[in-house]
Amino acid sequence: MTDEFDRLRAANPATNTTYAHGDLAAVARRAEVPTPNAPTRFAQGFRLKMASAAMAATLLTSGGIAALESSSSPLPVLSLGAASPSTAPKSESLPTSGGLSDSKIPGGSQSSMRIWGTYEFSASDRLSSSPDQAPVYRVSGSSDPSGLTIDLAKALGIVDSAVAIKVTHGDFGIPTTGYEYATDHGTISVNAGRNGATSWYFSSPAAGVSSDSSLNVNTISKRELVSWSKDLIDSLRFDLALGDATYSIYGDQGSVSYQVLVGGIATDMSVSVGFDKQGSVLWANGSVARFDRAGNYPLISERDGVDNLSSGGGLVPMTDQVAGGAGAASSDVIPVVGSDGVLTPPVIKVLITSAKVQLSTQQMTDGSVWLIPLYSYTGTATNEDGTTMESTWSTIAVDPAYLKISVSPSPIVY
Amino acid sequence: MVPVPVDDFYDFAHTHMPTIANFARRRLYPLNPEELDDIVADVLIVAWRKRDVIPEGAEAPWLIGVTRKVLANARRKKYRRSAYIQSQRAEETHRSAEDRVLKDAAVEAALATLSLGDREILMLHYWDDLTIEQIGTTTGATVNAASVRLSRARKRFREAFAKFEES
Repeated sequence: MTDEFDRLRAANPATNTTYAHGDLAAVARRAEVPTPNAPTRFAQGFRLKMASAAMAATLLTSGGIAALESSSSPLPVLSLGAASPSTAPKSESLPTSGGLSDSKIPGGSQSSMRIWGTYEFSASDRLSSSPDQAPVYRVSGSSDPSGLTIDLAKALGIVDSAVAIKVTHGDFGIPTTGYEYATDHGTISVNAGRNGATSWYFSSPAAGVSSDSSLNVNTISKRELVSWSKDLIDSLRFDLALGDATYSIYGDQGSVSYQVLVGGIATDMSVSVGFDKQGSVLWANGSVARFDRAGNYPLISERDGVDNLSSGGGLVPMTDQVAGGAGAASSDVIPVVGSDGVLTPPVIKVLITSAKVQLSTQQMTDGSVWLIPLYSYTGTATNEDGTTMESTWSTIAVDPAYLKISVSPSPIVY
Repeated sequence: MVPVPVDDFYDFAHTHMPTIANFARRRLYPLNPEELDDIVADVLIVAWRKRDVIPEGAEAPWLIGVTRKVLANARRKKYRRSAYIQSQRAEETHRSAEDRVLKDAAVEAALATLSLGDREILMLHYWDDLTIEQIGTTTGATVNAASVRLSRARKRFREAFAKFEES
């Protein structure tokens, strides 16, 4: 007689099904790309190039950083491990984004939001032509990732005395140490590298449960989200300044995302939490870091930054706030097929209307991680068919006199 | 650059894709079904690059462990993105594969009463054919803890199954 576990085994949906990848040849091509030797957190790394060899020996120490605070010390040159803003090609092939495509910028992933086209940027009169200054910070992670893991477990209420922290090293080719605390009530993952912020992620067993698709209305109010997230943030007791929150509600689930501020400036770091309709935490993630100020860097003017965008040194739109109705969505940007059958990118004209300085996490070739000022621009893109779209773009704001660009040898997958 | 022996990669991929796809397909939510290929591709590339360190005889838990992390990364990206995209609210939701495919009503009903933790460990054992040791490796638990969790999940499944089978 078949027992319940035979029935369970027989119910495996994979039984009598086969899987074939849609484009295994593409996977094989990706596999041809060698694993990068240098530890890089993002697709591009920063290289800290010193004005002199002697200075190089001191800058990467706390003493060197302290020296930067002195007004008499020259600032070091920052060298981007990416295509130069002044030499990078325009977007003439399938989505490319100039120098910083994989940097984490508030607003989410760029890679999924790329728009194919040649962008022509211009600055409105509201943008400043006067250069300013902005701070650069070195970023270090938690000194006690294991303790952080337990603190998170306590704050999230998943402590199980029978469970120990599992430590793993160096997954995905990135030299990090992972701390995983998995109980029946949820899993906490903490990733701590030698440098940079310590990231953490929590997922409850219910995180994989879909929101109720039968609901046509949201069953969570923003007021509830505000209250729940405030309580959780308070219980986490991170020594981080948090900025504006973004709220998202879909059916019976909702999420809150806070920008992390450093010196009052928004960064690309965030703390995010997802809740179910009872206010239970479905998932959460964020970063814990210490920020050591390394000095003020001269910036280019806001208007000069727009020129950098035009020469390919910026980022493609990361958020799409459609101004011209549904017809202005990015999916409506249609490439033109010439008589020779070659696709040519459409020309998209962008008027930049506002700019603000933000700090972007970047890693140098020595492994150290820094917060570097960017200009985050908001503007209106006009497609060839006249439809418009509000978006944001970013470009490095540091004065080129303090930048040196080197080309990244290969794309980095992880 | 050292060229990849393509034939070897295809052999490697065809050997391991079923394990990766079967596991990832059931845990794809909130990703779209169309993203399964991306997940499988990412896992394959990690596995291919680390094939020299995959423990012999423990390929399945190793691959499932990587798949869990790749899925977690993909979900994390999606969650972060969703916080900024207003249209996310209207996004279609996708039921898990077992919800859509299971034909055995009693099994489906019994599974539905369990916590995701219980379902996870039962599926790892009965659907992914992992031993208790392999489940421990995959989930980061000790063999003893994995054994206890599986035992508890079996008990709860048996009770729920009996109730639904009876009715």
